[in-house]
Amino acid sequence: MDSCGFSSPRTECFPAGLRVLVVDDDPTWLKILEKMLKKCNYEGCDFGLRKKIERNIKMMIRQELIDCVCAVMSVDGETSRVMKGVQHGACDYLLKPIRMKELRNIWQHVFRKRIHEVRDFEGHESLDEMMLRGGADLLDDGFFFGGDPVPGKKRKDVDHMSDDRVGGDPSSLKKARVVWTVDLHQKFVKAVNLIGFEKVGPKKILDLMGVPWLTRENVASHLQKYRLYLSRLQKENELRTTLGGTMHSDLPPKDAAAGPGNASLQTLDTKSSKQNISVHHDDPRNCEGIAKASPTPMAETKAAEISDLAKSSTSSISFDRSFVESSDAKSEPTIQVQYSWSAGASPLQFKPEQKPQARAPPIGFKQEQKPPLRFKKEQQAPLFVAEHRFDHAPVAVHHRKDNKASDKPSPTATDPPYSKAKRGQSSKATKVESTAALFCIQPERPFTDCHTIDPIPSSIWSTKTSQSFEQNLYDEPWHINALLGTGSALASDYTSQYPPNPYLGTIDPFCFNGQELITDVSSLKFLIDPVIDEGLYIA
Amino acid sequence: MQRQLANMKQTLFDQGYLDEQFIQLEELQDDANPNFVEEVVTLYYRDSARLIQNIEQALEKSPLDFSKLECLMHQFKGSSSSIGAKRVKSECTQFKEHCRVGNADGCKRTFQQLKKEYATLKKKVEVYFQFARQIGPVEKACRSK
Repeated sequence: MDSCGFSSPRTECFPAGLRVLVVDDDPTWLKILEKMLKKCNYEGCDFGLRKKIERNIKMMIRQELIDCVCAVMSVDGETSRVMKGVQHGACDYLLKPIRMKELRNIWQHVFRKRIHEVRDFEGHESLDEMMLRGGADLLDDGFFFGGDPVPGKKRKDVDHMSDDRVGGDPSSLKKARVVWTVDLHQKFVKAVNLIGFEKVGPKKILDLMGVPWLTRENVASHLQKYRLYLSRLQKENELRTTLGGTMHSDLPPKDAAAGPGNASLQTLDTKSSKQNISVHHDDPRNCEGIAKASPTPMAETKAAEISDLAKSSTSSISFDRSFVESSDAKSEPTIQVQYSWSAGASPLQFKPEQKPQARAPPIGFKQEQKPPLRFKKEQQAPLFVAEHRFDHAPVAVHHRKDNKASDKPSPTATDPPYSKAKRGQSSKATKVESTAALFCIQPERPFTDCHTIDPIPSSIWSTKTSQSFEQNLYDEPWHINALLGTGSALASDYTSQYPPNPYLGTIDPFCFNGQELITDVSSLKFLIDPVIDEGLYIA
Repeated sequence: MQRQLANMKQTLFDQGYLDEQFIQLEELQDDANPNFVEEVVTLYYRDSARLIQNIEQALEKSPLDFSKLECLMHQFKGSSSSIGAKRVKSECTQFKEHCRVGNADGCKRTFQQLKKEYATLKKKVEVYFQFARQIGPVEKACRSK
């Protein structure tokens, strides 16, 4: 006898009104269960033939009409059977004859599923709501699921009896995706940093994060993505240094300025673009995390760092090194990432990150031209180091949004970085955007490349640290050129090295030519100063 | 009269014809379904008759298809559990065991036993319900558990 049931909750108070579909070959059981379900205040309906039911259920699932939670009912209570049922995805195994109390409790499976779905959706608030209301509201469509309604979608509790086999495929159920908001990602990064990047495990992260509705699985998958992202960044950085191209190619220009810059960036080959993208991804991520994280502390930290850097070109801060190495995309992005994520612990974070970078200082510069110049930059690098994080993060995020055509900064910012990296485009855009945003890069700006960015950072430095930096920047325009020249690799390095600071945002390596850069720099200078004052960056 | 009915039922339980599931069914019975238990039992007998026929047919084949027999019996067992037919159910279990070891004779013997229990229960339950109907719904409501 096979039976399966599904239920869709009603808007009445959960679990009352749970609709259960019972599928069984045995009409006697169907009748009994119908009655029992009624007694539980569930609503039962039966279909009868197993095959027909399965077809119907599958169809309903496809049509997103039902979610399925499966329970197996059988007269056979052997462990092997039970295991088989569970293996096939059954939430529960009910032994025939079925007792009322067992039936009364099947709603827990639906509820649990709901909770998971809600968690997967952005906005754990809905989960809280759900908890408060005992899940009743969840039964309404859509609205609680992070604003992502699935109208008509009903939770179904499938009781599937498998004397012979288990029907009803719970895997066809849709699960709400967890949206990693900036805030959430911030917590995540914080937790990761606290634990130590290498030793981190999802359970520990989960505990540290202290987000009640988050599951270990959510954290685990996010951690995986994060790790992939970092390794990709590293790879890209390496590639970038070798390629020396600027990749940011298609940053969807949020501003006109950003656009052109982006366009130029795109000139690089795909690889570089990819690299860029990954770098950019950092920004959004950083931005987002940063945005939410205590920007102030970060900024302060950064400021401190900056000043430190300013003091010594060869500051002990690994950042410097990392910047130099910028080519090590991995190091930089990592650092950036670290910054953004570890809201207060960033300096620490960076250090480990920096180590790898240290080895590749010239890499970034290698790219094409003027490696020596790059080193000089180091001194400047410290300047970049500071800030880039969180302050502009909001901006960056914001800008990114523009590119993405999304309004809010980052509710999904954290998550998208990963995806963006894959896409490549968006992430880049983010970076560029952020930079642009900070700098208020206007389209009219002659900058087509990131070189505008360079000047900006310098300007920032001046604000942050001292005029000396700015001087450096302008005194050695060739630096900039060099930097810029290195192309995306460098640019990305910069970005990575110099975490987007509030003013600068992320500096995306844009394609640029040195000459332009110089020109731009000077022009920037003018722009920057006023901009800096206002905290805006006009590119 | 009520007491008679109660005794009747108690006897059935004591003799192991019925088990707790029957009580569950009675609990499900209410004003909305005053004859719920009887309906269920009737349904059981109607449906299980078909199953018994299938098993009989399968038993006449040679050699015996034990897996099929076991499958059929599994259904029958589940069905029997729905009304709490305790003795019938235990015969089912035995039958399945014989199938598992490939004991054809054992299967056939057990099946005969099963049919006997099945028929006996049917008769007893029929009497019970007849009596209950005579007494009337009030008595049913006062049934002892």
